[in-house]
Amino acid sequence: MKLLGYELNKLLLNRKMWIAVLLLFVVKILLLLYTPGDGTYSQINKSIYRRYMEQYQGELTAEKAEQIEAENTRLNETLALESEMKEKYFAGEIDADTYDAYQTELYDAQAKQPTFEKVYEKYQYFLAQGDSFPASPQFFYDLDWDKYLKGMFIDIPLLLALLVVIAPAFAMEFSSGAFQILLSSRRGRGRTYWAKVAASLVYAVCVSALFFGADMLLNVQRYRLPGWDAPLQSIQTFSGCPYALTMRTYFWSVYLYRFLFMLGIAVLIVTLSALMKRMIAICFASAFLVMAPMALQGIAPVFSDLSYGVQAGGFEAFASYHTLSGVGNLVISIVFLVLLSLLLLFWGRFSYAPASQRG
Amino acid sequence: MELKFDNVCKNYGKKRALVDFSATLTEGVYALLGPNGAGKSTLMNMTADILRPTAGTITYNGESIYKLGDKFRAVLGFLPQSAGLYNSFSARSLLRYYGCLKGMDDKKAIEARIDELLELVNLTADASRKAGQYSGGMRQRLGIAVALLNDPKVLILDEPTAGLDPKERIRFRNIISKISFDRIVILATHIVSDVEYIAKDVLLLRQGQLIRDTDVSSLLAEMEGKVWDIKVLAAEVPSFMQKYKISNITKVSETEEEAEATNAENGLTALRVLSDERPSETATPVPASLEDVYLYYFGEVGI
Repeated sequence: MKLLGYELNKLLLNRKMWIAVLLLFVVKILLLLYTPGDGTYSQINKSIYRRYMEQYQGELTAEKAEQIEAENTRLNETLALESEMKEKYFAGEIDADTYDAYQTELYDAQAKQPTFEKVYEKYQYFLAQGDSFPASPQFFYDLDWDKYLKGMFIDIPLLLALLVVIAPAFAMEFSSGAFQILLSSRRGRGRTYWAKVAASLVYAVCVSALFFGADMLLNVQRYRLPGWDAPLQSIQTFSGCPYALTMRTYFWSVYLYRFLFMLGIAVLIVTLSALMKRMIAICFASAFLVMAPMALQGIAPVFSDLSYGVQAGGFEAFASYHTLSGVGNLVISIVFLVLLSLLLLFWGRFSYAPASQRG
Repeated sequence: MELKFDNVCKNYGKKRALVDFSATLTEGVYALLGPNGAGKSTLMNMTADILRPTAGTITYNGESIYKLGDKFRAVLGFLPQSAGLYNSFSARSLLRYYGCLKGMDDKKAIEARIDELLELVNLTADASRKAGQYSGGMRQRLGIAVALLNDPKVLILDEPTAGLDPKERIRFRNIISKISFDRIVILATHIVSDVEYIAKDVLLLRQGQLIRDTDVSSLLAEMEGKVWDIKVLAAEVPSFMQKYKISNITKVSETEEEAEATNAENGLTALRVLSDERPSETATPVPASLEDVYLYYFGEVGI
């Protein structure tokens, strides 16, 4: 414990590092406040969608199914009658009042149709899944959820905040020559190694809690998300999820997932620090390992599954298109992450002293 | 107490940094002398278990230091060339940290030891200042305190007086002299005068090979008749430098007779020449210093 305290002191007593972390936190806040919303749903009228969702809110019942079908028929028929009604009006078969009334309906249908398509698609998705879901899906205003979740990506300012503080954990000992004293001391090998790893993880936990805390608060404030108790499968992206999760549980799972991935990245950085010993090499190697699989995901989806950059965003947890989602990729990813981290840690431990012994 | 090196070799790829080094060290100060690249740091790093030999063994009281592991490190003190002090730590907290690292768990004992060492290296008044605010000499003194913290039985000091002023160097010399009676001190330095009066033995290393291992008085005795004082005209100095190793050149004040014999532009210069044979009929033999020995073995003609 004493050594852990000293290692924490060594990591955190540098004022320049604190300034860097503070600046990164400010950047994070600015990104949260000023990142524009997702443009995926530009064809959808949000207020119309919200009205439909409020109208059908809750589980799909027979009555709601009738209403949706009726609305679909009404909109399609209204749109289909456009040329016929025009011809009839010009032929004098209908009067101006009737045609005006039709035109009002037509404008309404034209405004609602693109948005209703999304509602109808959701309805058909509910029908198609039948009883295969672990819980009945619900209608609720989910556009902002979708936008919020898809906006989740690896937290770059947090990644940098980890890098600037953790990368020097071993590198500074090698650059200052202190490693010679460490390695020639009774507790300078095993215990010091684990104390450094523990100090890095303590810092990673604290800084991740700070960044993710801000992320949660500002995003929930921004999107004012409804439907916390609806099943996760209510959003089509998660149709493959085999678990009966609510949006609330999913929300916390995502943050747990992101949190664990950041601890995994902290382990990766501290191991690279022990192995590579030079700051510049550690930074390049970390950036490469995080970014390279993302660059390769176009070649094969498995690179996306392995990508820290994509996975650390958290949105992938339970997503249907994920290769591992059939068995719940959250569990697989966590097991993979823990095993990989342990492997890295022991690799770092056994390389730390013998690497320097090779001179 | 015995630290024994038995045919120790260290190769870095094809480069042979240390070749068949054998020596047996007991209590006392051992000066490790040699030019840069002679293998001094390699030898010290191997003794501190930071590097492993390519071949050969190093034993402490008959047991391999690598098998002893932590037990050997518990009796080891090492001051590397760059002391590796953390700028954000005060001297006292830095010593506490290294105390923890060296396995000193008794809080009272460590505080007493820290006070004692701070006094020894003259840093008591600056104990609360951060190491980042220290001068080069103060940092070096703090490094010495770190090396002595666990009261080591084997003390390895790599250029410990670099950056110290003459007064501090004398102080350091006295400290080492005082503590060396019951421990093995290996001291590598380029400042030969630092070890002249305190070294029990001198180990001369050149290109990874141990070329001499003997006590200072024997070394000096061997130099008898090899160090010469000679006065020459200034114009003759370059030709002497081409022929001999010169350990000192001084312009001398001339007597009236000498001044008559020479002129202002071509005055007399005193040379301290290292040569197996008398360099000139006017040369007089003088007692050697350890610096002369260093230059005799490692100096070059023409410099």
